[in-house]
Amino acid sequence: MRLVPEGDAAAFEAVFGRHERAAFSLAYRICGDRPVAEEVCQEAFLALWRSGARYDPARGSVRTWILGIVHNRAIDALRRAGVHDRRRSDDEAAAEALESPERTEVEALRRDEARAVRSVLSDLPEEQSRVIELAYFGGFTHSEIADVLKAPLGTVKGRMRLGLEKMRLALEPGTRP
Amino acid sequence: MTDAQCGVADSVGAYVLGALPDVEAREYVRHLEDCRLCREDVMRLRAPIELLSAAAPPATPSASLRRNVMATVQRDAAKRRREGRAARPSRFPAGLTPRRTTLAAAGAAAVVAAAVTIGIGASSSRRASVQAQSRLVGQVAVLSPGGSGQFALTGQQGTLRVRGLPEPPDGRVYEVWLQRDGMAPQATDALFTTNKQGQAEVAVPGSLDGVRRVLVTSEPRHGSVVPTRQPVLVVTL
Repeated sequence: MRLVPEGDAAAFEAVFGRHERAAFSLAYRICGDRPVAEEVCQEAFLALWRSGARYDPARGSVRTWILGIVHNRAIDALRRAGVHDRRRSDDEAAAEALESPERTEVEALRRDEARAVRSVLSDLPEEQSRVIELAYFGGFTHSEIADVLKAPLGTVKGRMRLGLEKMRLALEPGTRP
Repeated sequence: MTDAQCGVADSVGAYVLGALPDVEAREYVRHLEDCRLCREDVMRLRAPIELLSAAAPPATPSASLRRNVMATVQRDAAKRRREGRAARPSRFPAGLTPRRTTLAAAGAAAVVAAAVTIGIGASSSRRASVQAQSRLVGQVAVLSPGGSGQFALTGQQGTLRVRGLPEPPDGRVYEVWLQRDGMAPQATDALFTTNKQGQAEVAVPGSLDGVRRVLVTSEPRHGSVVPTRQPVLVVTL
């Protein structure tokens, strides 16, 4: 199915507006650099537009689909730059905490969901959350993580799996905080 | 929890996180083709991964992001209106269209064009609805020495079979695209790799109504929404 009518710039702008902040937040978290994160988002959305934005519901929600594209491109950008897991400065992080209030109920729900996920992640044993964050947001392979943490490879893989299983159980509908 | 008898069960977390090195990821994809337990693990653990994507701390882009994206979108849309076309401008790699692909490929020593004919006989498949026959259709061009392919139709369900197609480069998979006249290639869910003999059989998802060409390109591990490489295989229907 098509995400927006063929060639309809206004409809595409509506889709862009709904997902722009989530896409940029993810790209920025991964890349740690605003211009690079914006470039990643620009490439991802223009790729969607030029492909005709044919969306396959089998791939999950529209947001999941778009964020998956952004994630892939952000990790590629990170690896091209040879820099992993760039952290934003504390000042910037504090500024982000003063985000404008939710504009719509949908945005409020999404922000609540994001908080819930971060809460579940922080509730994991530190060794499990660390490997998940290094992999997903840092773009490290399991062997690179094993080197960084000075842990056996099998241990790293096991922590990834256990951590994700715990997240899945904690985030199942009806159990979310 | 996964049956402990599967020796690679612990790789599922690294796989869904994208943390497997390229060679290992390719081997794991092959493993998934034969291991129902690991496939179930992957499906189960994709849910927290999808939620992770939304868990990044909120950040606001500058106004220039929207401005830049929409400037390009509106320019494209205006161009299409001027040209009076409903179709998208082709985003196929510059200088190459699928039609020219077959001609360009013919000039290269590496092409094997397998012309196939219709008429295999009745299929006993329960999936066949309007037509009982599975038939080979189209002309297949494979841009690798010794490579060959077949495209079979059962009703509107297409199946691509390849031989002699080398494994995709590190960190990449093969992706199937559908192209209708005057339109850019449409991405599908069909991502595959080949075995050591260069063989693969892939169900081509989606309706083939109006499709003139089926393409295969190598793409980054999770697939692409637009082709990033020239095709390695073209089926002209």
